[in-house]
Amino acid sequence: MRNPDAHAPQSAGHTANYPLQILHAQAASSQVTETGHTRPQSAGLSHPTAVGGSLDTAEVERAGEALQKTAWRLFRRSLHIRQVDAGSCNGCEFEVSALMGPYYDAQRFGIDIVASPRHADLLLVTGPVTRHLHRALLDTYEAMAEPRLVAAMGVCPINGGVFARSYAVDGPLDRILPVDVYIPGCPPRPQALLHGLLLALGRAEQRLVGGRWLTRGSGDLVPTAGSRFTR
Amino acid sequence: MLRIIANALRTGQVTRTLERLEAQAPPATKGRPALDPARCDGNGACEAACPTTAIRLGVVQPDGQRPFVLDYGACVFCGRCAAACVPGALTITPDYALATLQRDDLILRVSVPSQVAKKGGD
Repeated sequence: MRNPDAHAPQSAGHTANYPLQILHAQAASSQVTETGHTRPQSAGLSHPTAVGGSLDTAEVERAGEALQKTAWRLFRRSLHIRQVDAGSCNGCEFEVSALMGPYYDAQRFGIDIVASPRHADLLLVTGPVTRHLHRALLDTYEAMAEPRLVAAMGVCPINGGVFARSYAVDGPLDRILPVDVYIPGCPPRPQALLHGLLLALGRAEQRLVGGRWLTRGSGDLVPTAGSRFTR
Repeated sequence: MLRIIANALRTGQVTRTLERLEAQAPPATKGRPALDPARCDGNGACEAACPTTAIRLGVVQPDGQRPFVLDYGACVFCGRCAAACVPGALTITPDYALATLQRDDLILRVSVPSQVAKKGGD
């Protein structure tokens, strides 16, 4: 339907087209690596980090199609997501349901939210990981089959956000689980979420070596020091 | 019942395809704040205004520069820093697709000139 070569990358190191570059890389070589994160260090740019950009409608479509193609190859069918609310304010949940709703309609890209972690390929974590939900989150991760990707959605699992340094928070998430993709925003827009999921699939591809998944196992679990669960 | 079916047929499709919707985010969308280090005078108003301490300014160095750290992993896009910024170095952009694979890629580390060195800086 759409020829991936038609969207070959034209200009490298252009921040405004950053998500587009990822999509191009994904469509052309089906490989998103850290090299996709070219850090533009030129003096004219005020923002030397890798982040920045927005997606217009055509780019969302391309992102979704690239995601679908990669998910088909990696998981043979589609990307199933288990979403865990680890103490979220529900803002991120609204965005997830918006992505799955009729407007953004991510199901046409082969993405689905499933009710069991055993069916899921990706664990989507929202919220700052409160003490109360720490154990539920670990149990969910343990119940997933490899390859289990972990996406931190919103600033809460990344940094704690407005809940940072609370006595009830065990996060940030990367002290508890190995995080594959960070999707900042408060909350991130559905398109930003789609972009993050695409990056996560690129990460999954790196772990598929010779037709076998490189498993991480439970040894990668990092129990949070001082949390009640680990005591 | 027949009336309902007839009504449904008459109404037709009410959903629209995505191509016909707005291509870009609405103009009022607040995305990441962008820093123009050339305009920044290092007064630290943004640091005081930030509710999540996403912005941190370090102590003034002997060369008059101040380290400026902006963590997009903590920023909630509230826009208070841009409102507090007197020289207009911080501006809110509509960029929102910020996902990265590395935590460190979300952190902006630059050095900004400081005009408030005599007041003790930090």
